[in-house]
Amino acid sequence: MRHTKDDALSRPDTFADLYRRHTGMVYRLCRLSLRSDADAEDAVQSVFLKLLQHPKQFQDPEHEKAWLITAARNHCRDLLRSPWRSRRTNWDDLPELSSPDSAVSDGDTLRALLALPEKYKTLLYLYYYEGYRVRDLSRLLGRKESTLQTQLAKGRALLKLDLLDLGGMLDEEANP
Amino acid sequence: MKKRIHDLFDALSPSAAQEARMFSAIETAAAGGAARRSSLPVRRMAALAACLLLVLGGALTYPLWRPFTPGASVDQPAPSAGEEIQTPVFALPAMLAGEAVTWEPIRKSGDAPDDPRSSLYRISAATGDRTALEKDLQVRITGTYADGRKITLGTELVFEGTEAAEEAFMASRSAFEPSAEVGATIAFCALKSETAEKGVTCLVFRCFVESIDQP
Repeated sequence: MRHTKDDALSRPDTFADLYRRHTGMVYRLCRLSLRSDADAEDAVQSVFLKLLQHPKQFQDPEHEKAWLITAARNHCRDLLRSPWRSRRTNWDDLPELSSPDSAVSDGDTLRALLALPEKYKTLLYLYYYEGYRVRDLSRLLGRKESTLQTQLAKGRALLKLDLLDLGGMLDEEANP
Repeated sequence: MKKRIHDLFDALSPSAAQEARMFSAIETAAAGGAARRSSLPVRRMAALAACLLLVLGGALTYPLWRPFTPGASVDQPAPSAGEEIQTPVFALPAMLAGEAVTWEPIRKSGDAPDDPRSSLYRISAATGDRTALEKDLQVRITGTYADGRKITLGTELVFEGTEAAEEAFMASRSAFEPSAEVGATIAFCALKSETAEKGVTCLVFRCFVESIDQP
């Protein structure tokens, strides 16, 4: 697919197709990193706007997808390093008061996932949701396959532990 | 576990309304050539507006809080005896005008920052030999009040020595604590090398009100 700045706008269906194909993936990646709906929306817009203003020559759909993943990860990483982000606490990160009767809810599980270190949650997402194989992820993320296998195992363990901790905490609150 | 993780990520997907909103914002930004996006968080815009207001407010009120005015004239507090306090503008001796001169207010702890009688200034001048300096000061330092009255300060040499000694001298300035009759104490440092060879790099002058003429 080849866009130029002018024809991308004059043929919005082409860009719209690309947007429809990948917006969910880019949004989920950004949402995972930034942990805020509003920030994720901003990031998605920035990534696609960049593509619209600086068109790329993609060899195939996989190349297109890989470029968007890399662009989204880089953009989110830049945002996380910015002074604005590094000096404030995300509203979504603040702990909520939980009811003693509540079990581990979907919201708690999601929070545990979002609280995982960046390298684990992105890897888990690309592996389990996007269906990438470890060999492909090795090329995409620039990490060794053995490293990725280890990180996948550790990510799974961390997520499981976090969920157990969360459940244990709630049990303690319910039965002090 | 796999199914659960998959479902978890699924919960992070954008809604159809979000997708449409983002697409619309991208099109608008691309068409307008600006990265203006409708979903920019309100709190970020509010912080930006607050910063702009702060800078604008600071710039507009600068004349009220500026500590000193470098250059050929300086705002000097009015040393009037029983007079209403106003701020005359002093013309510096011609020798210092246009030179690299910095005015640095010196205050002891406990001084009220806006007390017009507690003004001491150290002037670091990269210029000037002692002779010219004394000669220039003998010409008198004059200033003008906003209402047109002329004020003339006389000067009196009260210290000469090294810069280190001058600092100690200024620290114990109770000997010439500014009163209603004393306009300012001015220290000139960094004199020329021929003076420095004799161990004198600083001169301290006490300035006092010599006259205030009605317009």
